[in-house]
Amino acid sequence: MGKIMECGAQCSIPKSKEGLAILRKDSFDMIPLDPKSKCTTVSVASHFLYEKTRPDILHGPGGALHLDQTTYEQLDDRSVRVRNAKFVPEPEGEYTVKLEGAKVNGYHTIFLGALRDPILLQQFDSWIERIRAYVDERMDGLGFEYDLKIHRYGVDGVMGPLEPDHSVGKEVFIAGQARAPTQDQADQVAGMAKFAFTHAPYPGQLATAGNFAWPFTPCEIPMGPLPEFCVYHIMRKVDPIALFPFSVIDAHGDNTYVHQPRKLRVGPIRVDPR
Amino acid sequence: MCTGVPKLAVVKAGGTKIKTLQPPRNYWLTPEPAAGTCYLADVASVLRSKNSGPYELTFDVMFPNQEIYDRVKSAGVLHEETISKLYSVPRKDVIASLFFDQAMAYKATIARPAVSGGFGEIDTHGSQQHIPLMYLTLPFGRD
Repeated sequence: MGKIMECGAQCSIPKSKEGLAILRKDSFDMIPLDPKSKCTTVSVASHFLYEKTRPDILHGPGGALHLDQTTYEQLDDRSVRVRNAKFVPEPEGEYTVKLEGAKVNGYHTIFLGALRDPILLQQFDSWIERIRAYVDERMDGLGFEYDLKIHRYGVDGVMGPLEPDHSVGKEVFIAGQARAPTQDQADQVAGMAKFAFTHAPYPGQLATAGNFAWPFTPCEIPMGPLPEFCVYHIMRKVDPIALFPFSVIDAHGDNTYVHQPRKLRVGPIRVDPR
Repeated sequence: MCTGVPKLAVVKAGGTKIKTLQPPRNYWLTPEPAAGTCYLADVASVLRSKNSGPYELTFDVMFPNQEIYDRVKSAGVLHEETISKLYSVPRKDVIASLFFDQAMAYKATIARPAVSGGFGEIDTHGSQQHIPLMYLTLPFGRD
């Protein structure tokens, strides 16, 4: 029930916001609160697929919820009863908790633009390699490590290594991404790469005035810190209570919420006459 | 090739003219599949990809009714080996591949090429990685 209710009534048709679940000892009922929406046996069962590795075993703190024997009964037009979900706990003393964490892994700067010249597009793989080599050469000796990713929309921009179709469209959109220890360094790498995209020559070149069509100026956009997952770990044999310290705060009052809108200063923009 | 927007058609029923909604054409994918075959996208009611945690990519395929579900399941085309080939990933990186009868669904999960949201990410939610599955050929015709 928890897996379903964390998404409200997303398991209803059409998808709606709020759901009511009635929990019993060995079953639960699922009803969407929006009267225009309904739950069906299949719509509820389907929700166990959503964003999970597999629908029949859902791992959680201290054990796994087994759903392979679940049954789904249509109670009326809009409600479904689910039975036979079984929680299988880890063995005594082997409670598990998942630990997740992220870190800042440098700063990044992007640049956006496109290639259209058919002579260039016929050889742009090798051309991009030469651009990389050029950037490496120019950055060498500056004393910082960096990464450069060239996203190639129209080739494999969306699927990357999973893309089975290797054809190239008539135009290719480039989103370059540079990462370095500081924002300033990432800006330098992106600027150098964008310069190379604009002016690097290639065999058969007719268009000697520039290769890179960019829509927005400035072309390089500093993006700030780059977040990355760094911890995704199952801790075993842990004390589930001690890991999550809690305190109880006694709050007194009349339990009434009074909305007090913030006073926003709105008015014409003043230009300092200096 | 396809008419996506439902068209109003006037149908004569028992001498009375009734306006009904004509459903849009089911078949979006081109080219037309070889005779006696169809695409998985032709028969699925849901066909999607998404992250399942930051290190996995999962595919859900659902079907509109028991008959179509049974037909696809018994065709034996949807299995671990197929996913491995479609996405060019080794068998060990296919983490799950199973049918879930209660939902009339097939599900497969593979290791993500890179952790979600990291440097060089191309699809943060993983929701546009389903395309090769759409074009998977099934051994029965569209009609």
